[in-house]
Amino acid sequence: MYTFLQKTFGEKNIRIFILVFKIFWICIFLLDSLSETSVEIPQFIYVNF
Amino acid sequence: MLKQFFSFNYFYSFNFWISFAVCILLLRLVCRKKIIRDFTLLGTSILMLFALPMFDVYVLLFYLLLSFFVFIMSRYLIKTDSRRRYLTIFISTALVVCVLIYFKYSFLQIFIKNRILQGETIVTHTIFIVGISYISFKEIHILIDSYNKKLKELDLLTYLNYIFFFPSFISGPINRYEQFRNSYTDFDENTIRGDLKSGSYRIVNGLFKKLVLAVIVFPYTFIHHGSESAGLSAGSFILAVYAQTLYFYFDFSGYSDMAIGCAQVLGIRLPENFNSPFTKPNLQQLWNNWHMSLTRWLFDYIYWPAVKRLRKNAYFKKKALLLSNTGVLITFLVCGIWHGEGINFVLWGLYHGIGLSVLKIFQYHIKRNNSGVITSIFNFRYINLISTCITFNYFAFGMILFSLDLRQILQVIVRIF
Repeated sequence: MYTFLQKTFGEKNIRIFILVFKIFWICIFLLDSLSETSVEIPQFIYVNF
Repeated sequence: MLKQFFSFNYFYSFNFWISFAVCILLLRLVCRKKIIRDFTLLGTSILMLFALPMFDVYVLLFYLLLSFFVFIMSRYLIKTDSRRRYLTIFISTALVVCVLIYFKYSFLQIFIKNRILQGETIVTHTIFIVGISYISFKEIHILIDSYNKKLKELDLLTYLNYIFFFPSFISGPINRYEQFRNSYTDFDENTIRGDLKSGSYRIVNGLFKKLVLAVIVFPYTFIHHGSESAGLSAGSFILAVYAQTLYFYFDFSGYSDMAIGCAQVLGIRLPENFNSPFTKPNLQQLWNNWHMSLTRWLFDYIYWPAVKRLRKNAYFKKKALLLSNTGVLITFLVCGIWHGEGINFVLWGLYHGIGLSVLKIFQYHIKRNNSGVITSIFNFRYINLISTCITFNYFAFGMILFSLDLRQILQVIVRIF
């Protein structure tokens, strides 16, 4: 799938698209975490190991 | 107010990124001379560690004492060839292991404080020091490699920077001293742009795993269900098994991505920790690609020393497969015990040790009886997909032992039968 997208749109464009996609969802989830009903982001698991 | 600002969760709090930006400015743009950069990296690392909730002056002093002790012993082991070397490595490694065991297992702390020291009041609280496991892994690596003469020299400032390097301080990846020193000496000013670009990409990748993917699966995990986990319906329980596995992957590989990315932005290379482990067709390959730096550490400092020692025994000398499987079982038993203090962690370690042993026996027999039927089965088009699916499920169902305590596991077994 990734190879197909790379060939069709070019590697650089795909990387930028994925980066924007990820940043967009990070922002959405960060904004969502500010609301009272959201699930709190838990601490990293391996901190306690 | 300063205290409030300078107390944050690593990698996903806003204050961390502001402090990290200052570190980048200091290390990559302001400090050009190596000696100044060395001191600046150490200073910024220690300052960043103070932001951790369980890190204070006493913890720093304790870590400095332990680090100096290991440094002196390692320098002695590198320089001398006397007969005392064996005694030195034994005492110093035993001390580091004892410190790790004491701070890691709360029941041991309570036992020592109440039974051995016997104070007037009964002690119930325990001390947990952040980063104790990973600092111990690094110290043991330094000591053993110095003893084996794999380390030729040890420079104090580089050594302290290696121990206290803040992106990998809490949970790795467990890098090696030589690797750290090489990437640290090759600190090239011309690579700033490339490092910033690829490091930032890696950080975004880690943030996406931690803040998006891990958050999506979290409500279905055993962690979220807590004490009610054993009482879940069959469907919810199976969903929790897969969710827990994915959550562990997203959480820890997200953390590793951010640690590697941050280090890269600062100009230092850290080893990879995950390489698509759930796409691997057998358990051995899965473990070679899951928490890779720990797996490598366990094989270098537990598996190989154990196998070398067992090989001296005449019984094991003739039975290579049994020798290898005993080594694997010992290694995964230690791995399980390290992960936690409950019996469930021991069972989890054994579960994976047995899984890998069975795989080794299977591979051995396939190799020996290379018949046409078996070859045609392994040439079957979808065999890779089927074995990947079986491997993932074996690993995922092992998460039950990892995530639930013995009482909950027994409750689940009783409900099934």
